[in-house]
Amino acid sequence: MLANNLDIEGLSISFSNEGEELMALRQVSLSVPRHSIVGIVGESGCGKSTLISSIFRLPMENAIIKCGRIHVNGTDVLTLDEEEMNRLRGKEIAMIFQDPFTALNPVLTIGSQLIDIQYRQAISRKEKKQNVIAALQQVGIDRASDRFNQYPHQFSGGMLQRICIAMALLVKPTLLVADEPTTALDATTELQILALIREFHRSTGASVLLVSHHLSVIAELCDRVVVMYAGEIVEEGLSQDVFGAPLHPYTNLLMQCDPARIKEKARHLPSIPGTVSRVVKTSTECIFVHRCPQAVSRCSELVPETYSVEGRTVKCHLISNE
Amino acid sequence: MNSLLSISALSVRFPLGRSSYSLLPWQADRYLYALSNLSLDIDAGETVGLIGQSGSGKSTLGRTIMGLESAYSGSVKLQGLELMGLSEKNYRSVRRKLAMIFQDPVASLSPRKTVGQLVAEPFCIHKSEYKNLQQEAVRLLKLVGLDENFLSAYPHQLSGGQARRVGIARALALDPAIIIADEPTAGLDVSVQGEIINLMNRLQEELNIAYLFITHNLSVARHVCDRLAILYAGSLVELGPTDKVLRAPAHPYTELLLRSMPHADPMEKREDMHLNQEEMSYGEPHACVFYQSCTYSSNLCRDEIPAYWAAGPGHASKCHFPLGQSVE
Amino acid sequence: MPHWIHASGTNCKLVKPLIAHQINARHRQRARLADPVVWLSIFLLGVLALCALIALLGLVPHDPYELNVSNRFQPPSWEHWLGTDNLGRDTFSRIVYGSRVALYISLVGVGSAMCLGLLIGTIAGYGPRWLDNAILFVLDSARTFPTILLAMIIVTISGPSINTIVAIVIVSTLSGYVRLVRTQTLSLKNRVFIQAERSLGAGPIRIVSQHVIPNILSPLLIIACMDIPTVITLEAGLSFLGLGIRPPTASWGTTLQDGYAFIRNTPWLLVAASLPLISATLGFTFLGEALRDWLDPNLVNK
Repeated sequence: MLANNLDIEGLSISFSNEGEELMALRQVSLSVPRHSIVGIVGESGCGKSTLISSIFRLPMENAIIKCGRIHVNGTDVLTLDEEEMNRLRGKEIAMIFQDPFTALNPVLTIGSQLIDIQYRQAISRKEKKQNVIAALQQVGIDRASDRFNQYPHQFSGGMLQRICIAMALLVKPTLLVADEPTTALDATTELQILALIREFHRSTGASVLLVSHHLSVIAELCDRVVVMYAGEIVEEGLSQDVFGAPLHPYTNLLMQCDPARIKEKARHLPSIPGTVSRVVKTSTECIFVHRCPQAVSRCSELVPETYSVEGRTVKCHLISNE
Repeated sequence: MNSLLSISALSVRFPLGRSSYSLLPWQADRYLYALSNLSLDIDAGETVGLIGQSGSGKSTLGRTIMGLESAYSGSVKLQGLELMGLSEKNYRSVRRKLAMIFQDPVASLSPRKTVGQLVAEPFCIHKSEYKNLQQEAVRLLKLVGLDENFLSAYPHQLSGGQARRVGIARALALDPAIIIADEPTAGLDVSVQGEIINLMNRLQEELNIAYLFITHNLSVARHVCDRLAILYAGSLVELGPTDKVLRAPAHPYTELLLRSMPHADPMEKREDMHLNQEEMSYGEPHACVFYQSCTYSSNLCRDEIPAYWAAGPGHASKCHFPLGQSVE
Repeated sequence: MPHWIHASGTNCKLVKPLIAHQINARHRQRARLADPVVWLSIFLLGVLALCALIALLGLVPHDPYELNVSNRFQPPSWEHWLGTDNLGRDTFSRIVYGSRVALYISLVGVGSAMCLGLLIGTIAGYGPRWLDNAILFVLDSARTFPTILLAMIIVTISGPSINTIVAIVIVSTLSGYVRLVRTQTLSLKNRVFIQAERSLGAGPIRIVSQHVIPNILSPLLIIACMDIPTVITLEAGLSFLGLGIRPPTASWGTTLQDGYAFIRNTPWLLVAASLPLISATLGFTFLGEALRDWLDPNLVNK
């Protein structure tokens, strides 16, 4: 039995854009062990969309896969052709998208879409419909048999996201990737969706790769956490370690910026000055050096190694000094 | 009370039903009440947070004040001038004092215009005394922390934070007295949220602007707002100073919201509230809007619209059985 | 050293994203000019414009109206580059003169239809519902008439002439433009940036002229470009049927008609008339495609 549902080793992807090469992902390595929930924390520009698209081999214009391997249940998806990849998608790996409003076909009823997603299973249409009703009830949609014939625009964002989770339930994947599933939803709905994902994980035993830029969402749900910045993984480890005692300056700053963490009412909220840089050529400095408050001279001269500390990994020069 | 913006008993409703391909107007028999009987006062220089979920009507309130939606009944007075029923022409002059920042920063900028043209546009629309438009645009951009180089950029070239700043610059062009900010931090990364909030606070201090801060994010509202107005299904259920509302909420819905706020320690898990706001309020409300989801509800809540109960100075809650009230 | 080139010492964190896009814009311009479709369309249309210019200046080798019946049906030769027609007139000169007709009809006809379509379509889309319904009613009724029938009615009323053809072109293509403009206007009307403009106090005229029209111009221009070859062919067809240009005025359609009538005498007339039709069609089609690539990606590419 394989230990990991997902194994990414040394993945580097660049985009060729009108003469220059944008290095979107550089030497990214992460694993999702079986029956676990792993979270990726990353803000805009960190490369998480590229990462997810590459796991599913979704078409990306101008993308060049420079090196690396992506093993899904033991198979390297980078070596598969489109037909083989298609057999994997929607069977072993499934995805929940950020915007529930555009994730479903607006001109088909949700019932027909949910029946359609079971096309690989050789059961009768009646059985498929029963599965659909059961799945809808499981995700908490009342009067499922009535709502079966409704269209996506008749549902709210939270309900649509539940329907997407129901789709995943019907497909029974071994790995579920959730790309910012609650970003478009309110706080109370967010809780419900997270609870659903947790329930999904528990009932099907699938592993979950959750991507979000909200720390609280990741902390609620994930066993392990990976922090990404500008195409690199800067810190990785168990949730309680990374959030409890962050080692990388970026993680630290992220925690400080979260308004929920600031106990006293403050007129002036902290932020990280500067913008995420786009890496266009191989550099000899740490990716975070321009915004890091703890940068030393070594940080602009040498790319830091990834150091292992007590079951975590951190990509920072400051660690090696200890 | 000389408030800057005075909203009283405002109701906004949308007709439901299909319209036919005809030249004749039709009468709707069912209405969706987006806002019912809402009253709120905003003073100069203060920030009032309007907290609500999607579907609560918070964006509708912002748009009604701006004149983008028409109200069914009630009044909105800006510095004593009644806005409801004002002709489009007269509304235009009012719009100098009233500005809005929209939720999606890039989408709210006209895609074929440059930032310079967009920022100078308010002056063109209102044909203000012929200033040097270029200079004014640069001044406004500097005010929001953007460089001159941005004058020639197009909206699709801007990041979320930059577009947000351009939106703020446009809103500031004609020296508004009040800015309605619809979810100003939505879609922004946590690391840049602080910059926008700090900018808004600084502008408030320098220019004495009042804000109607519309959001569903209590964590941010906590830091920015002087007072909080909690909206549920089109009704204002609680209104009061921020720290009072957060420390001693008087309405059950507020209590529910607080429990779903992310904790200071991200590792602490939030309880799951089984909140069902799926049923919209069709027809004029005749009961407490929160009746169906409230844990403390009783028959009285189903039959009668509650009146406002004062929990303290400036702190009111619309509930038959407000929290903290001693049982008589 | 950071990866970016600093520019004039301004605050580099704000300048960075912008410089990238200025570089990209230059790259895009170079890519556009390298596209063979663009060059082909420039070439073909350039030839067409040149013909019209030559005709205007009267620089043709022979008078297109000069008869020389004894010299008719000549194949191409050094003196008559495309031979002569059934009345001994120089075909080449007639073709060159015909380009005036083609350009006049296409530019004036399609141009007017486009402008009218823009006006009516934005009124229908942005104005009140009842006006929209009324306009659509009128247009849809007009559209039920087949073009040829419409042409015959108009010709009966005003007699065959070049302006009649322009009128036919406008009437038959207007409904398509109005619908296109109306649909685009309707979808833009509820977009956030239009609401933002309204919230600033912009009136409907300003909104439509400054914010709606610039955003719908590109699909309209592309459709118009693709329509021009159709219109030129329409003229040829109408003239062929005798409903359009009357002899002795030189037009591609009349030459086509003569070529068909006298095909047993010489095939060259037909060939001569087909050549400009084909090249004009290709030229405008390529222009339309080039425009489509040129105009739209600005909104899509970041």
